[in-house]
Amino acid sequence: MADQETQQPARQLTCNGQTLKQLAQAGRDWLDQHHALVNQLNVFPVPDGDTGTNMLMTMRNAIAEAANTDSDHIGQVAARIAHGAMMGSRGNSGTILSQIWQGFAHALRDQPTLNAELLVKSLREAADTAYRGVIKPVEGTILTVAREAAEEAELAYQETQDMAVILARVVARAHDALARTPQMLPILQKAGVVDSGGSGLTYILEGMLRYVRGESVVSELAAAAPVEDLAAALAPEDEMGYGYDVQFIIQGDNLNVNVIRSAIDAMGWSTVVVGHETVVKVHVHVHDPGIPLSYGVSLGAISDIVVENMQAQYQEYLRERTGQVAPADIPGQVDSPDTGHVELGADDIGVVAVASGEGLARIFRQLGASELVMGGQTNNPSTQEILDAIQRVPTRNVILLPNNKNIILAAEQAARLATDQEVIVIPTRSMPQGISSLLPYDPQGDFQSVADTMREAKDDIVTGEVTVATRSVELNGVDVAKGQVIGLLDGTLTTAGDNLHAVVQNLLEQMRVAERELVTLYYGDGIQEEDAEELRQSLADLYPSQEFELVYGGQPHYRYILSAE
Amino acid sequence: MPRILIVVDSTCDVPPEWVRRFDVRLVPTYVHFGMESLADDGVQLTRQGFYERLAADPLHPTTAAPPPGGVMEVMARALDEAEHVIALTAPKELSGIYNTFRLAAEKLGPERVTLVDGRSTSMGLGWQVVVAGEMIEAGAAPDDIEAALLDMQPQIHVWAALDTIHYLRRSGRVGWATAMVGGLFQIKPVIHLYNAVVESVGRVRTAQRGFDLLADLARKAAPLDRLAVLHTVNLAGAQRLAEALKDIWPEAPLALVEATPVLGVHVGPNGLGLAIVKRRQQDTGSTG
Repeated sequence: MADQETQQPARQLTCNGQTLKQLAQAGRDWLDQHHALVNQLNVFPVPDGDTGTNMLMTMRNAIAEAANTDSDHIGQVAARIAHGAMMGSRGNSGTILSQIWQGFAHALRDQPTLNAELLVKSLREAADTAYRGVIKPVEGTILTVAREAAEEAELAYQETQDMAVILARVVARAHDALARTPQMLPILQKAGVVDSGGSGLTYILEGMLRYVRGESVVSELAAAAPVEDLAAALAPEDEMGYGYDVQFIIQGDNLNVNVIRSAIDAMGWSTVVVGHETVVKVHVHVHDPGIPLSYGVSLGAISDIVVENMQAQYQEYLRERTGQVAPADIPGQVDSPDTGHVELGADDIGVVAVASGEGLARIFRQLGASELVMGGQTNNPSTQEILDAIQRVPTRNVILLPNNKNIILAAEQAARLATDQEVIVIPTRSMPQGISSLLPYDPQGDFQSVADTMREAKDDIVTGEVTVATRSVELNGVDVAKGQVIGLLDGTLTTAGDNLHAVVQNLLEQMRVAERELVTLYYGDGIQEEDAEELRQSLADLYPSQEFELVYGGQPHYRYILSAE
Repeated sequence: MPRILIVVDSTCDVPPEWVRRFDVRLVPTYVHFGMESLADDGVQLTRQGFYERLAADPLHPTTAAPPPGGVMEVMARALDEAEHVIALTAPKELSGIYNTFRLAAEKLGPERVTLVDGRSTSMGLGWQVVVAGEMIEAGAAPDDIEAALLDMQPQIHVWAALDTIHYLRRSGRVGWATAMVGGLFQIKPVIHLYNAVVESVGRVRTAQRGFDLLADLARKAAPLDRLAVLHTVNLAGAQRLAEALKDIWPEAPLALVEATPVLGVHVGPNGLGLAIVKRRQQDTGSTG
C-alpha cells in the first residue's frame, strides 16, 4: 500500500488531477492504518464493528477507478474517484462516503485545477450531498464532521488563500467536531466512544494533510501487526494467557529506532516502536512487563510508563461491547450480575428466583430474573427475605420461583404477605425446574398466560441431584451408608454408591437419558472443572446421540445437579 | 401494456423458478470476512461454501449494503427494458439497503421507480415479490401494485428458531440478544420479524422444542395465503416442518427455501423458519 510519492517535502499546495489522486491515496492509506480502530468505535446505527472496513473498501474501490487515468484535469479525476466510490461503496458509512465524493466531484466538474475558492466550495457541496444521502440526517456522525469541515474551510478562506493552511484548519476542526460527537449522540456517550464514521472521515482528511506536509502515512505504524479486532488483539497468543500491554518513552542519545524495534519485537507481540535519536516511544504486549522495561532502562531514562493487564482489559472490553463475560472467569466470581437485566416498567411482569450458588444465580439473571434470593437445600431463605426481594421488584405483577421443594411453603407465604403486588408462585422443586420455567418468560406478556406457560414449562425436564449422605439410611429400597454418594430423581432417592461418576451414570439411566435431546450438568462448588469436564466427556461417549452441556452451578451441597430434556 | 420489472435486494430469498418466471432483477448485498468482500450473487458466495467457512474462519463475517452504483446498474438496465420498476428492499431500520435504492432511484428518475420498503426480509420480502410478479402478469398498474403490497405487509410474519443465539448477538442488530448472556450456552431463541422489528417469542434449549414452537405459531396464524419454510443448512428439518404443517398448507405453492448467507451471518447454521402471509379475514364487521 506504500506509495513512494507520499514521501515528499512540504510545499505550497497546488492541485491538479494527479495531485488529487495522491491526496486521495494518502487519505486511503492513513485510513488503512486506522481502520481496525474505526471498527472498534462502531456503535451507531448498528454496532456491528465494520465501519472502518466499509469505508476503507469504499476508498480502495474509488481510487482503483482513478488509477488508470493520467489526466491532469482535476474535475475529470474527481469524477473518476466519485464514480468508483459510487460503484464500489459498502455499507452505510460507505454509502455516505460515496456521497461526499459525489458532491466534491460535482463542484469541480469543469475545473482543470483546484484553488482555495474551489476547495471551499467543493467541501461544502460534499457535506450537503452527504446530508441528502441519508433518509434522516443525525448529528454526531460523519455528517457533522463533514459539515463542520466545510464550515471551517469557509472561515479559513476569509483569512488565507493558502490551501495547505485551509486544509490544516479543516483537519483540526474535524478532530474537534469528532471529539464532540458523544455530546450530540447519547449512544456514543454511553459507549464511551466517538463516532466511527466521523473518525474514518477525519483519518482520510488527516492523511491528505500529512501528504501535503510531506509526512508519511504508512511507515510509523507499519511495524505493528494489523489490529483486526480488539478482542482478537487482546486474546491470548499462547497458553501463558493474555499478558500485559506495556508502553513507555525512552530518552537517550543516539538511540537506534530500528535496533530497538527488533529487540522489543523479540520480547512480545503487537510491537510499535517509533521515534528518533533522542526519544523513542515503545508499545508492546508481553507476558513479563519487566523485560521491556529493564531493556528501556539500559538505553536511557524511561518515562510515561503504562502497564495494563490485558486479561482485565479483555474482560472489560467484552462486558462493554457485548455484555458478555470472558469464558475464563465463568467459574468463580459473579462480578457482572446484571448481564441479562432488562429495565422493567410497573406494568411488566417481574421474576424473583431463589438461587443456590453463584453459577446458578448468573443463569437466573441471564434468563431475566430481576431479583434473586440466595438459598437452597441446606440454607432455606426466610419468608421475610423472599418478601423483601418481591418488594424490590418494580412491577405490580411478580412471578416467584422457589426452586426447592422445601422453600415452596415460605414462598407462598411471602406471596400472601406482598399485599401491594400480585404474586404467582410457580412451585418449582429444583433449580433445573426453575430454569426450564424461566425460559419462556416474557416480561411484557399477559400475566396469567405467562404464568401458565411457565408452570407448564417447569415439567419439560427431569431433574437429578447428586450429593453425599449425611447418615446411613434405607429408603425406597435403597441402602445408603453415611458418606456414600446418593442420587435423587426428581427429589426421590433412587441410587447410591461409592463412586461419584458411577452414581451420576446410574441416575442418568433412571432419567432415561437415551430418550432425551440435551443433558445439562451443573457442577457444584466442591467440584473441579477438569473433573466435571472429564465426567461430561465420558457421558458424551456413552450417549453419542445426546448433547451434554457442562455449566458451573457453584451450588453448595449438591455435587452435581442434572437436567434432561 | 407498459412493461414493469421488479428490482429487489438479494435478501428476498425468492426461489430461482420464480426469479425466472417474473424476470426478477436481484441486487446482490455483501458479506465481508475481514477485508474480503463477497457479493451475494450465488457465485462469489454459495450457501454450502459460506456455512463451511462460517464454522471454520476465525473472522466473524459482517454484512454490508450494496453501493448505490451497484443498485443503479441493475435498476438502469431494468428501466432500459421496461417503462417502470417496482423496487423492494429489506426494512430501512435494519439495513442501509433501502437508502442505496433510494439514492439510485433518485438518480435514475423517481417517477419511473416505485420504491417500497418491504418491512421484512427473506420470504417475508420474497412473497411481496411473488405477489407483485403475479399482478404484473395480470396487467396491474404500478400504483395498484404498491397499494397491494402495503396492504399485504401487516399480514406478513417471519419466525425463526435459531440453533444458537451466538450469531444474532454478534450481528449487533438486535438489542435484547446482546443483553441475554450468562452461564448457559445452549439457548436457542425463537424470533419473530414483523414490521421491521425483531423480537423474541421464546427461548428453548432443544431443537425439537424450537420446531414445535414454530409449528404452533403457524397453526395459530392459519388460515394462510402463503407459506414458506426457511432453513439454514437444515433441509431435513425444513422438510419435516413442511410435512408437519401439511394440514394448513395454503392453496398457493409452498416454498422451501435455504436462506441467503447474508441472513445466515445473523442467524447462524441449523436454523429453521417460516415466512407466512396470513389470510386477511373478510370484513364482516368483526376485527378478527
